[in-house]
Amino acid sequence: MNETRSIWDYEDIVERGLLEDLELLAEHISGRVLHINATYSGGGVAEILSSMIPLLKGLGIETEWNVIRGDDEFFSITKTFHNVLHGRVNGAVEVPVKHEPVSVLDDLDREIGELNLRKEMFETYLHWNRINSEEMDLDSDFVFIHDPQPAALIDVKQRGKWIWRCHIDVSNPDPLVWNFLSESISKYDASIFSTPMFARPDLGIRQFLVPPSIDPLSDKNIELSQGEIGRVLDKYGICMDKPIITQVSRFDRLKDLPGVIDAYKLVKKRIDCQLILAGGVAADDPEGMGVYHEVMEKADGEEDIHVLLGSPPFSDIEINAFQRASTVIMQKSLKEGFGLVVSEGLWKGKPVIGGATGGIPLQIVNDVTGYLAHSVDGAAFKIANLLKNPELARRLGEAGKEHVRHNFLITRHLKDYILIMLSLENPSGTIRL
Amino acid sequence: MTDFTFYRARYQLELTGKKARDLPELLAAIKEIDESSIFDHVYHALLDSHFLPIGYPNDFAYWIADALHEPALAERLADLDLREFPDIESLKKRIIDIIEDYMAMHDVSRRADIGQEFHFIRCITVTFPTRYMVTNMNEVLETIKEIDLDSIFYYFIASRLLGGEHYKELSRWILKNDTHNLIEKLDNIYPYGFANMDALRNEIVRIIERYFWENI
Repeated sequence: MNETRSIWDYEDIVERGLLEDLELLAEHISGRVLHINATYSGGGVAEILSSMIPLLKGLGIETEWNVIRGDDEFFSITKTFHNVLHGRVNGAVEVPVKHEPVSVLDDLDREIGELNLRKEMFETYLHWNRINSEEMDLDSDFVFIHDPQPAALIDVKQRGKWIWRCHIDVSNPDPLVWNFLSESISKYDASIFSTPMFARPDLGIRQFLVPPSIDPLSDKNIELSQGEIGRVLDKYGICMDKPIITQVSRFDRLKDLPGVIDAYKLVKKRIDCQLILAGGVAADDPEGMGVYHEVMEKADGEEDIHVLLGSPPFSDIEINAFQRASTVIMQKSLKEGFGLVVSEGLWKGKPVIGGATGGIPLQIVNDVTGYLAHSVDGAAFKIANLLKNPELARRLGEAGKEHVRHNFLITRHLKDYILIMLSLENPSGTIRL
Repeated sequence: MTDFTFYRARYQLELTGKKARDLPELLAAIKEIDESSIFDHVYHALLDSHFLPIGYPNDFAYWIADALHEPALAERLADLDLREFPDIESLKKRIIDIIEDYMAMHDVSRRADIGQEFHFIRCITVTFPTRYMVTNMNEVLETIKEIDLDSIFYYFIASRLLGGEHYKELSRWILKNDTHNLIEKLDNIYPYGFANMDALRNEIVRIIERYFWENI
């Protein structure tokens, strides 16, 4: 990616002082900055890096973005890691299941089998990290490694400051997987977590706090005209003649798409409305298609439920249009890393109802920028309340937009990364440049 | 006349690894944490320019109300008059006294739910020169009118509390420029008496302009 972008493109959106500071701070970063993650597209991490890298370059910082490669088995393993680090819920865990032991010896055999399975997984994971470390130029002054997939690249560190950027909740992980990964992670110079709740007390390295962000100038978030919105909805056969409830999320069990359908069906009994469930399947997620079929089954052909699988992926403009066409936006996750889609909805001035998990409560200040829902009934009640009270929906949406402007835009994220690089070079509480 | 360069500060949050689920744990951690952590948990509301969703102006008061359901203690901590504290150490002592007094009189066995712990955060201050360079008091006045509110916060609140280096440099420069009683007036500003940073900026501008009328 050789594209560069000027921070002054954001002049009409954020305070001028922040943009001036970004320029001043960037002058103090010298050397090469490298970001590495698992995919160039699909999911929040790739979206952030797509915006972040051109801006870092635009500030005059030599920056590169690489992704690791691997086979299907590797990505299946890293998806399992992702799930068990999160601590899955609702019976959706695909790690070894606890069986009733027939005898002590049977139980022992089963445990040995599970351990062997884990050992093979760990070896495959390390094998692909080794291959990537041989193929990549890791010689940089600052190396940001995103999430567990490339975490073991640290094993070949020669120089520079290495930062492990964790986008997921690892506060209650599967201990075996965490112990394995933390052997690598503890070698980093620092880590970054999205909220304090996601962090680990046992890392022994510095832990910075950086919420993720959205890019207000990306195709996913720029203003659209009513005509543009209408054309996208026409394309998917959706008529804007009744209120739209939308959840944009990957087809992933942790997003609780069945729960969204149940809440919608409760509302539908009282208020005529329609539901859009729009999402894709990430390249590193072998489970996604199975979840999609389960959701289709649950929707049961009801004409006002629009289950849209982006294959090929929806354009960002299409996602933007779905959100802007909505009266209420949902993110009813059971577990969430941060849930940036909440900020996307809030940025469009929409009231958002989200599950009280992960980073969602940081974005949804209950009854101020949206609502937190703890159950299907709770979500249904709140959807109905917003559909019946447009003024309330407008008030929450406006407050939400300001909340995002000050806390969850890419310009703030950029500032945080620059400050962290400066902090690692000057390890004191007050740094005078 | 020598030049004076205005500095700015930006803050990066770092986890301390300390957390609390009840009042005794909170108190023990407050006694141990460093000044930058107290600064962040008490003063960040002044720095945040966006709306505050709830009535508690600092993190300790909010958490005690929200997670421990001890509104009486939360209100006492919310009502801290920050003008009384010349430094973080004295503020910290006052917070400890309030919590200890409350614990002596009340059953404080209530614990926050898992996931609602209080996480102690410290802030790293990065200061850097801005492009605002002044050579006389007129330019100081124009710069203070123009610079963003975070700079006002930094010079007149953060710098004064956290070592005071940059505020002292500004004071010395103003003193060197024969403006003896102006600095006294600026020293006497109580930043926490203002509704927001705009109001504080307006008061600083008013003091400097009055100085010009009276002395020039």
